[in-house]
Amino acid sequence: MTDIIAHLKQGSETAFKELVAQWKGMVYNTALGILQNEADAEDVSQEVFMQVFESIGTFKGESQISTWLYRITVTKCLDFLRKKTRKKRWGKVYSLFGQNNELVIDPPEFHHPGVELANKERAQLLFKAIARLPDSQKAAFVLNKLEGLSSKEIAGIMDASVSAVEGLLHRAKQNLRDQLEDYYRNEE
Amino acid sequence: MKARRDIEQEINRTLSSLDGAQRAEPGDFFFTRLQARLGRAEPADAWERFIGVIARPSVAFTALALILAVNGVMFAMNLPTAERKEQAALQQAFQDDEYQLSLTNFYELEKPEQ
Repeated sequence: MTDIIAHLKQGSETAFKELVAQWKGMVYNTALGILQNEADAEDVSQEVFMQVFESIGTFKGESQISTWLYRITVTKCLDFLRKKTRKKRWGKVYSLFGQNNELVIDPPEFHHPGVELANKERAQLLFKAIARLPDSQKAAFVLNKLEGLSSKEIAGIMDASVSAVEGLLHRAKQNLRDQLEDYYRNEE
Repeated sequence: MKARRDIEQEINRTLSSLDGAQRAEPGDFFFTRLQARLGRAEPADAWERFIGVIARPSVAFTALALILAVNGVMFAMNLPTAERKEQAALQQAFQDDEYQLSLTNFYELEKPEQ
C-alpha cells in the first residue's frame, strides 16, 4: 500500500486506478449507509477520490489509508446532508414567495442492495430510523453496523476517544430502540 | 396491541437485520466516470463558497445579532442627554431670533431701522 501512495504522490494514474479499485466498495458502502441514496452515494464517493487525488501530498502516512479514506467519506457525507437540509430549508422559504424552486423530497424507502432478502423489510425500517439520528450517531452506527468497525477504529476515524464513540453508539442504539418501539406499538 | 415481550423481540430482530449484509459496490465504470469528473473539475466558484459560508445558520444568526447590537449601541449613543437638550434649546432660540420663526405672516415682519 505504501508503494501505491508513493506512486500516487508522483502522479501515477495506474496507482490511482489501483487505489480506487481497492477502496471504492468501502467508500461507497459507507456513503450509501449514511446518505441512503444510490446516486448521492456515488456522487460523494467520486468527491472522496477526487479529494484523495488532489490532497495525496498532505497524507503523511501517520494513520492507515483506510482510516484516512473513512474520515474523508464521513466528512463529505455529513457536509452533503447539511447542504441538502439547507437546500430544503431555502426551498421552503422560496416556495412561500412563489418561486419555482422545488422542494427536495427524500425518496420514501431505501433498500440496501447487500441486505438479505429475508431481512429487507426490517432493514428498510431500520434505515428509516437511522436517517433520523443526529449526524455523529448516524456516522458511528453505520461504520459499526455496515462496515463492522470496532469502537477503537471509529474513534480513529472520527478523531474522538474510544469512550466517546462507545457513548455515541450507546445513544444511537437507544434512539433506534425508542423509534422502533413507537413504530411497533402503533403498528396495530 | 402487541405484548411487551413481542415488541422487544421485534426490535431486537430489526436492530440485527443489517448483520451479515454484503458490502454494496458502485455501478460499473465507476473509475471512468470519476476520470471524466476529474477532467472537468473546476475550482469552486468564489461566490458559491461565499454563499455557502453566509448561509450557515450559525454565521447568519451571529451576523444578525451583531447588526442588532451595533444598532442598539448607536441608539444608546444618540439618546438625548441634558447637555444635548440644552444645546438644542439654545440652537432653537437662536434660530427663532435670527430668522423670526415665531412670525406667522408677512405683515408682522419688522423692517430694519434706517
